[in-house]
Amino acid sequence: MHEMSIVVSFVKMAEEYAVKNNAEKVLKVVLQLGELSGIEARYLHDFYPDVVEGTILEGSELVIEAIEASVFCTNCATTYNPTKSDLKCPACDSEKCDVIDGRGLFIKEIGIKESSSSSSDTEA
Amino acid sequence: MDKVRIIEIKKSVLDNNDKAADLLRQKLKAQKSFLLNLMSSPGSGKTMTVIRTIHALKDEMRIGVMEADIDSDVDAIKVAETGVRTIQLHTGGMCHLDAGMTKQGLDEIGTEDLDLIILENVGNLVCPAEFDTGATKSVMILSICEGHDKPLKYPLMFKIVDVMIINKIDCAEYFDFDFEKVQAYAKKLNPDIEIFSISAKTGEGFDAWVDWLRRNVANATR
Repeated sequence: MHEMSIVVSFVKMAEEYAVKNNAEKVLKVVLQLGELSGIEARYLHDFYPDVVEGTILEGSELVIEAIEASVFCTNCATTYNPTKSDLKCPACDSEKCDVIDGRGLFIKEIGIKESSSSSSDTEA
Repeated sequence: MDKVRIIEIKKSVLDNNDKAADLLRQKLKAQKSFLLNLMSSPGSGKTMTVIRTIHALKDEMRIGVMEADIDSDVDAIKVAETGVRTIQLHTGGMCHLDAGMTKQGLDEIGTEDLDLIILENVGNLVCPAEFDTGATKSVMILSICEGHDKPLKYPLMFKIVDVMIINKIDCAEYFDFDFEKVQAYAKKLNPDIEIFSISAKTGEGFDAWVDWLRRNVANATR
């Protein structure tokens, strides 16, 4: 399943950022998943705990936000939100269109607990 | 209480593969080699199409083939009989090739003296469509035994390819395959898609497909 290799790659990315930012643990990973990406959120959730086992992401929460599909019609210049499988322009019926948004998968942010040995600018 | 810090990342997860694929495409362009990514479901006739294509073009250009499968080397052995340089890639259970694996294969086969490299991807209509391999052009084969409704069921595959080859047309009388419908479905998803109907077994319709490939390889190697 390719969702597995996707989980492996975003976990690796998150881990790199966490280490760079002196994290002791990662508490939360927030993804943004495009409606037209063909990637199923529930499989990402399913594989996540196994992939993060033994890393500083172990036990962290995975949050997946959806990105709505957005399409630009190159015929009449309308921008619209299509249904999943039908990209046809609602204004002029043209099928010549460019997907502007909704194909990708992004790491939006991660929440980390900083290493206690790091600088001591503490707050409540 | 633990101090939680939020770190904004805002980076594409597929970015690494997309970047690697673009780099690979640039490298191939610079050395004037054409990489064809050939995809389809299992049993659609990819290997037979590859073999007939090699026979049609091997006197005009230098060809190499990379066969990707989860396991076995049956396809590589068949293709190697044509006399062109062939290697077998094993994906180790993975359902697709990505740009990294494609690059490994290209390094192994050695592309500097090749005009056309054919990558026969893992038989699968789903996952290979999600990963840019870095190929110059992507082609998919749909055999008529699979049914004309496949563009509706696996839209991404039909969206991302440059060409759809309809194979096994010699068996058309035994199946209720609607050529008009399949073309309409595919064009709806991908208005620029080029479509060829062939029989890899009898060679029917092969000239138009081979012409397309010859033209595109010439563009890349000029």
